Formats: sequence, C-alpha cells, structure tokens
Amino acid sequence: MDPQLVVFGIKAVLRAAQAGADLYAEHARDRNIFLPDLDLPEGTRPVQLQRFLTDNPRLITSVPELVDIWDKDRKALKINLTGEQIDAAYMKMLQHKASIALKKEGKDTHDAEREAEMLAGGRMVEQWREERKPPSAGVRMALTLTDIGLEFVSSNPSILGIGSRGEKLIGAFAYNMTALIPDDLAAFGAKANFADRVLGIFLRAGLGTIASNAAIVFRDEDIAKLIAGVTKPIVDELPDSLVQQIAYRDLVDALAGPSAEAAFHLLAENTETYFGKDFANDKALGAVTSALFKEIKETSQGSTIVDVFSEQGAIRLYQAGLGVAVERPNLFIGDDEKPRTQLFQDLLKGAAATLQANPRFNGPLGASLAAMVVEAVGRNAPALLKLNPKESWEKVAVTALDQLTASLAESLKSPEGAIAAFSDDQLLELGRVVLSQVAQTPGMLGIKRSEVKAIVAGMAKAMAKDDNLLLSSDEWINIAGIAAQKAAANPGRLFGLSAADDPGEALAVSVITSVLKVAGDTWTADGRADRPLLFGATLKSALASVIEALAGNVEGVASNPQIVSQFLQKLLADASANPNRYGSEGLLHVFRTLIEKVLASGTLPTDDEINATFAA
Amino acid sequence: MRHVKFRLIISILVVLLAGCATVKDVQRASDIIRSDNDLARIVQEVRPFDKITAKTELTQLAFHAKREADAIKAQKGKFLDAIAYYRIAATAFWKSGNPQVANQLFEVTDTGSGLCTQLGDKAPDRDCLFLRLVIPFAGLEAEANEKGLSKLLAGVNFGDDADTDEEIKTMKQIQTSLSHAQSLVQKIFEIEADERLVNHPGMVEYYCENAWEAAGFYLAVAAVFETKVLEYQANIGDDQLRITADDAKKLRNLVPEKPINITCKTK
Repeated sequence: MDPQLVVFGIKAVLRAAQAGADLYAEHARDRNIFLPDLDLPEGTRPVQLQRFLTDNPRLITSVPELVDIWDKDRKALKINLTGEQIDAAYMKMLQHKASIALKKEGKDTHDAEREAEMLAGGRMVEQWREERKPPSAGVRMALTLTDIGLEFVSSNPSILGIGSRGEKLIGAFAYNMTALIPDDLAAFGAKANFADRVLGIFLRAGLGTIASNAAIVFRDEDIAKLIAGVTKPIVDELPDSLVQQIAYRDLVDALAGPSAEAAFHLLAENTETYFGKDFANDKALGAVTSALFKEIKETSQGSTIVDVFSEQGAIRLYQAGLGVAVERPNLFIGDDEKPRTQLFQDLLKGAAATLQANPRFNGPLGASLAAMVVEAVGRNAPALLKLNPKESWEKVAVTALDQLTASLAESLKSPEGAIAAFSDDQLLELGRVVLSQVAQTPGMLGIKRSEVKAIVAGMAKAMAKDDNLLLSSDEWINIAGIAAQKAAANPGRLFGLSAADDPGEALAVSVITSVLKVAGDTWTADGRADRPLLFGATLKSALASVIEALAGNVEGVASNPQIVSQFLQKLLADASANPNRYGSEGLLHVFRTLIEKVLASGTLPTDDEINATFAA
Repeated sequence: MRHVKFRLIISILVVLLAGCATVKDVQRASDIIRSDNDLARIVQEVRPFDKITAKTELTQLAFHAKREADAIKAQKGKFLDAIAYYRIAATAFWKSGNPQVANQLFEVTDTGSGLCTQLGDKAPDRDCLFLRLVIPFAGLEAEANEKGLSKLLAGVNFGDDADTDEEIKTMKQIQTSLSHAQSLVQKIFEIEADERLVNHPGMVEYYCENAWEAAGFYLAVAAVFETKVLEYQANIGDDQLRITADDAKKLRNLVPEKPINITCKTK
C-alpha cells in the first residue's frame, strides 16, 4: 500500500467533511436573516401632520382642514396654528390614513408578496447580490469533484489526462450526479451539502480503484447505477432532526468511504468478469444500501448493528449483500418492481440478534461469518425457493448463521484440544469450508434443517478430543471440509446416525474420536513414542479415508464402533513389529484399501488380507 | 521504511487535527444561526413589550457575538464568520438602546468593516452593507428617542409668552440634535451610491424603507422646527434665539433632497 495513497485517502475524506463544514458555515452566514428597521418615534401631532402632508400633497388642495394649516410656499405647517386647527387636521389625517389602508387591501400580487416578506419591525434579507449568489447544489458538487480530481492527479498523474480513465470517471460522476438532486430543490434542504460530501467520498473511492488497477475502465452507465443505487440511498436516509443527523453523519463518516470502496471493488470485479454486460440493477443495490443505512440508525437491545458487527464487519456484510444484489438482483426486487429494503434490514437485524446472543462472535468475526452465510445462501436462493417457496431466503440465512455460531460458541465456552488453538481467522475458515460444502446441497439449508449445526458441533467435538494436537488447525479445517462434503452428499448419515454403544453421539464423531484415541496412545507425554506413525499428515489422511468410507456401508461399524480403532491398532502393531517393511505410506495404503470393508462388516481383516493388500 | 512510517503518522496527525478544526467550524456555524435567531426573537417578540429585558438580553448577545468575532478576526480564513458575528453584535448593540455600549458598537462596526475592506470583492454583500448602515441608524434612533426631538418641540410654544428663556435653550438643543441627525441621514444617503446595494434587491428594499423613514422623520421635525423659529420671529422678534430663518431652512436641506437614486425609485 502506497503511504501517499493512505494519506490522500484520509485527506480526501476530511476535505469532503471540511467541504460539508464549509458549506454549513456558508449556509449559516448566507441564509436570509432578520434585519431590524429603524425604530423612530411617531412624533407630535404637528410632526405627524407635516410628514403626512409632505407624502400626500394632493390632499392639501382638497381637504379644507388640511388646506387650512398648510403653507404652500414653505411646504410646511403655517405658523401660530391653534390647538383646535391642529386637532381638526389631525382627525382628517387619521381618516385618510384609514382610507389609504383600506385601499391597500386591493393590492396587487406583487405588493402582497413584497409585504409578506416584511416582518414586524424589520425584514428578512439575503446575503448576496443576484450576480454574486453562491453556485447551485449541482455546481457545488461539480466543484468538489474537480477539486478532488485535481488533488488526486498530483499523486497519480497518469490517471488523468485527455481521454484517460480518471477523466472519464470524473466526467461520469459529473454527468450522473443529477440523480442526487431532486426536482424540488427546496425539499433538498440540508441534504444538498451532505450529498456533495458523500459524492466526494465516492469519487475518491472510484479514483482509488482505478489507480490501483490499470485495467479497469468504468462505464458511464455503471457509474449512473452506482450513484442511483449506492450513493443516493445514503443521502436519502439523512434524518431530519439535528440530533439524529449528528449521529448519522458520524456513522456515514465511518461507513461511506468503505461502502464506496466495496461498491467499486464489486464494480471492478464485474467489469472484468461480465465485460459488456450490465453491472447491476440499481434498485437491488439501492435496497441493500438503504437497508444498511436505515438499520445503522436503529437501536435494538441497547446496541446498533455497528456496535454488534463493528464498522469493518458492517461493511463486510454490506459487501456480501451487494454481491448477492449484483448476482441475483431479483431477490431484492418485489413483484411490484419496488426495492425490497426490508428484506436486507431483516437479515441485518436477525444476524445482529444472533451474534448478540453469542458474544464470542461480536465484531468482525461474527460479521464475516454472517457475510459468508449471506453469500452462500443468497447464491443458492433460487434453488432454496424452488425447494420451499414458503421459506424466505433471508430467514434461511439467519437460521444457518444461528446454527453455525451457536454450535461454534458452545464448543468455545470451555475450549479443549485442537479447537482451543483456533484463531479467529481459522474459525472463520472452518465456517467457510462447512458452508461452501453445505451450500452445494441446498436441501440442507432451511429453517427446520439442522445439518449445519450437526456438522459444526460434531467436528468441534471431535477436535476437542485432539488433546495432543496431533493435527494442526489447518489440517482440522481440511478434515472438516471433507466431513461436510460427505455429509452434504449423504444427508442424515455421518452426523445423523449413531453408533450402537453411544446413541447420543454422531457416528462420524465416534469414529474420529476412536482414531484419535489410537493416535494419542502412541504419543507419550514427552512427545513421540518409539515409532509413532499416526500423526500429522498420516493421521489426516487416515481420518479423511475413514470419513469418506463412512459415506458407504456402515452397518458393521454402527454395531461395533471400536472396530476402527482395533483395525488401526492391529496395523500399528504390525508396523512396530516390522519396521523395515512398514512406513506411513504402507500403513495408509492398507488402511485406505480395507477400511470400507471393515466398516461394512464390523470385523478385522485377516493377516493374509493385509499382506495381500500390502503386496498389491 | 521507518521514515515512511514516520511521515505517515505525522500526516495522519495533521489531518486529524484538521478534523478537529472541522468540528469547530460546524459548531461556530450553528452558533451563528442560533445567535441570529435569538436576535430576531428578542427584537420582534421581547423588545416591543419589555424594553428593559430586551436591553439586557441584547447586550449579552452582542458581547457574546463580539467575543466570538474577536477570537477569529485575525484568521484570514475565518473573516466571513467574524463579519457575520460583528454584524450580529452591531445589530444587538444598536437595538439594545444601551448608551453605555456606544464604544463597543463603534468597535464592532469598525473592525467588521475593516475585514470587509480586506476581503475586497469577496466581502459578503449584506453583512458589509449593513455594517455601514448601522452607525447612522443607531445614531439617528438615539437622537430621536433619547433626546426626544419631537417631544422637545412639543414643549416649545412661542405664542404663549411663557418660559421663553427655557424654550430658547430647548430650541438650541433641538438645533444641535437636528444638525447631528442631518449628518446621519446624509450618511445613510451616501450609502445609496454603493454599487453593492444597486444589485441587491433585498438590501435595496431594506435600505429604501429605512432611508425613507429616516428622511421622512427628520424632514418633518426640521420643518416643524423651522415653523417654531418663524413663530419666534413673528411673535417675539428679538435676537435672543440666535437662530435665523435661514439657519432653520438649511436644516431642511438634504443632498440629495430625498433618497432619489435609481435604487429607491422602484419602491
């Protein structure tokens, strides 16, 4: 990662935030404000008369009481007027003032509007002259795009230039940003500044994507869909109240950048994969994005989904949702052609509730598991819906996540054996291999199905028995994958059947446990015993062979589960007695060849059979 | 590698500090909006009914705005915010009607106008125009309300042969006040020629309403004053008053006579 790009990224987000702050400050300074009028006294009656007659000279010739007091030459009151003259004229003045006021009732529209602007004792006045009014929302956005583009070019000069990819991208943003601006600009209100900021964040993400991938060229139509489907919902979800806006803006500050990167990443992938085809349906993208940005505002059991998933985890989940929306847009569009925002909201809520119930999986780990489930179930949603149209895929996904996390969480409560050594990444990988296998048999996924739980719980139990850590975590993950594959291919067998002597235990777990016991017995407390052959890769291969064989006839082992350990002990005894003849490869060869027969018959092979197999 | 890391950390620290500055900017913008709203509320809703409370609240608001403005007046990037605060402070000092804050009124209008000059073409139209208007407006209101120009005139009656000496003193006082007021109205008229006003419909409306009000009030008082001078000459006729008819007539002159520039003809 180029440190300059990191710094640029932070700077660009802050610049966009600063641009928002600047625009807010500009709004504070430039909005119409109240300027109070001069508050002068009415004056004495002579002063009022003087003023009234100056403003209404026609009355001086027609109203006797007024003619009587007026000196035409001086355009002022005559001298030495009596109190009676002043009072009589004053009464006439009041009458005429009332008359003028009544006539004003029939004022024209222009006057009415003008007077409506006036307030008692003052007037609302805008900051700028007509020709100096600040640019419109659209122009401001264009300026922000230009600004960010220019700054980016200083770090990555190659992406801009005549006909280059960067220039095309900025052009596409400028062309399509009108999607963010509603027809009724007044209704846009505070969102104008916010939209400018979000658009800036998305442009930076787009430029970052093309800077890091020389082959990517974004099409104008794709950018249009991205702005309509991803950028616009973020802007639309801006709450009205100031307090909610503060919280939402904080969350958007944290999530909008990664969301934009996720969307561009997806766009880049699809541009490469489906070149020439439509990137995605903006309604489907919009449903996922709206759901995320609606849900981050909600609080359930005292926590938001960001508290449960973490910011990084929420983005991972969002990315998974976007991926499904791109691949299967119809899942997010209703019969009425409207985006099904509630669907992904329910999924986010359900996943959050599941992870809250299993605190070990709070944060990025749980969110990544949830994301994997969304991807796996979403990808297979059409098959699931075909199998059971009444089960919505998002509920199936939540059920699968619940089974996955609940069974893992149970085994992690007081972890023993190999499972205790699993890192978060390895737990995630364990979930991934199981899910990827199970997803190949959609019939195993369902609200009332419990295979996922049985497989994960069974494998976790088996791993807990590996006290001597004879297998590494990665080897166990590999074994779990094979077990899941076989279980998926043979539903209800490996983790459904039980051995006769242990009805509560799955057959696969009983068999794996007995193999582990034999391997452990050849491993002393101080380390390897004399010639232990059953550990590491050999043990892994032996377990893989026995699990694969469990998909066949298991009648014998079901009635006599110790047969596998007895078979292994016999082979190990032979190997110990004939060190020049037996190595791990020979032991495995015999084991793989004869295990199916052992499981079916429940009896040990004879020495002749073993020798013949060895010789073959 | 360590060098790169160091640069990265320093850069991130710098941009985080910039983030703090952004928060401060948003807080300041909110405060400007709040102060403007408070100002409008006090002037429109409190002052007409309770001048004493309004005086206290407006004085407090004015000092708050002045403090905020003073704190940022030296930062070139914050001039616009400082001017907005100075405009709020000037309005609040003016409308407080508090004679003890005259110095502060001058200080905020001078400092605000100075920032307008420094910004040149980029100066905010309304706020900078208003800072020019506020001193003559406040001065005229003070002359009219505190000195009670027209009330003083009402106490003068040269036809009753009573208290003439006192009335002569009052006439002198009114002459001085009118002279001050004339100069203030002239200052208001001078602003009519400001090219920023010409193309600003909202300010033109505001300016014309108030310029007409100022001129109308002033000229009416000056005319009645002239009438009193002529009454003195007609009824008493000595030279004790020491105010000639010409002196009085001159007080009725404004150059131009009224706010007649094209900007106000649209009224």
